[in-house]
Amino acid sequence: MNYPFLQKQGNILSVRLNKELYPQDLIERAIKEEPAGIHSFRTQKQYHLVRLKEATSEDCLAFLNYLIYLNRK
Amino acid sequence: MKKDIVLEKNEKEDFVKLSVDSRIYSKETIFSAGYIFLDRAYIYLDKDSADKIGVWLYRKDKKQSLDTLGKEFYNELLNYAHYYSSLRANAESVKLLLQRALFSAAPSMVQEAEEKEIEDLIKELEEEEKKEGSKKK
Repeated sequence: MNYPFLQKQGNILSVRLNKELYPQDLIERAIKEEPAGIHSFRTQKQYHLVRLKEATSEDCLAFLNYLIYLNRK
Repeated sequence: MKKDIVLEKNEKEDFVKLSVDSRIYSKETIFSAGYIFLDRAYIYLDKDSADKIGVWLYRKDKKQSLDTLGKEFYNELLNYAHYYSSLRANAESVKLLLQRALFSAAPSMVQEAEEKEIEDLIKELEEEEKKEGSKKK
């Protein structure tokens, strides 16, 4: 399946997240709480690009839900 | 007439997308509705335009109808929009009720609050008198 918000560079999958909807502190909290899953993140114009460690597209989708969960916690 | 939410189904890519008017449904409302759907769908959010937020729902259970998933998410948005607007509208009443509850639990607080109010009034009067005195001079 094709997910427009996922980018593949070699073996690494990145998720593209809108800055206005996914604030930086939310991603930093995710990194703090799940350091094993996130490789790095950088910000480009309107988007954060979060690189996940050894992730499948299913893992990336689970990460998206984790951010929703974390935002409510 | 412009719609506040537009629902778009994509069977091939297996998602349903809602384009939500952010002037009506806040980010807070969308995240809250998303939280309720965590066990049923994977949720991705992006900006469609300045006033529109796109919500992509990828179903977890392939037997689940995309159409139903989208419509139920819409209902959840309405539910939370109503919840947050009621919360804002009732904020002052809740504050008053809490104050009363606190005062009835500790009556000495009422006396303290009254004394403080009197002190404030006296201060105000003194300041007014000072101002009037300086004008006359």
